[in-house]
Amino acid sequence: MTGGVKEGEFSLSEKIEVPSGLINAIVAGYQLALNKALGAGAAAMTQLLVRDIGDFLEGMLEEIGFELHDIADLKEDIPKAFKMLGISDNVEVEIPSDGEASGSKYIIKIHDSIFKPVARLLEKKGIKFTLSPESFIAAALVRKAIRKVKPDAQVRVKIHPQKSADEPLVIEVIVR
Amino acid sequence: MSTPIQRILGEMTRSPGVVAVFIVSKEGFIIEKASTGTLTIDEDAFAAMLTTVYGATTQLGEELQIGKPETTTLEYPGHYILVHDLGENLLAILADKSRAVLGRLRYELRKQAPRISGAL
Repeated sequence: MTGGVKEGEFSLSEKIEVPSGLINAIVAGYQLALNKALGAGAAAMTQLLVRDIGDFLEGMLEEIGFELHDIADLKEDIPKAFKMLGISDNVEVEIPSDGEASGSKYIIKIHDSIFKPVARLLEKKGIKFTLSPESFIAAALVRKAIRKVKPDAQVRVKIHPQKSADEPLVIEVIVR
Repeated sequence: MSTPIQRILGEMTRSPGVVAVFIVSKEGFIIEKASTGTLTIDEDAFAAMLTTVYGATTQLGEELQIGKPETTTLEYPGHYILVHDLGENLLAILADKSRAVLGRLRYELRKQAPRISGAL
């Protein structure tokens, strides 16, 4: 089923159709379980996930021909990556003037996402969507672009609370 | 020049056995810290783990309907970690078990928590 993909590796080049409803159910399930076990502590998992998933994502995006340019190009590169991944066609990016400086904030607004059903379900249950896959992807891209000029740069992610799942998902990526 | 928070944390490190004191955001990162020596830890991982552990103890209290934890105490062979809720943040002490007095650490946490909250 996984064809040429080596055991223990992840790939985007081999496409297998999986219903988005199933993916959404799995993401929602993890978020609900984590929220039950950790409460507000689930938000801290986001920081760990950015570190652990970031490296995988970088390699996977390269594999499907995505090319990340310089920090200034993130405004175009981030929406392009979301489109190539089939997650959203409508992404806005605000780049700070001093992009790699510590404390700089990148704002990424995702208007329509395939993960919106998860956001809707969590909104009904009054749970914050801290495991948003969009946030890991955005953070991984920002981190990679910054590391071209500042190799040891770290980033933190903050997901703005949404009043409604129909509002854009606003992700803040902060450079450390 | 040190900030009021740094001064309070510095005072706390002078208690017997205290190795380090941390203020950790509930989002999972370190806001401020003070230590008696050089600490070789992965700060981001530590902060995220501390926050998730505290989250779990809070949820446990809710599940058992016994309220929120006042101070969470973790005991290891040579060390204690004590965690106190500051609202949006957590205050944590790492202490050497052989020199620290648990009651003193708890007293110190409760005494300094309002000062820190006021200075943040």
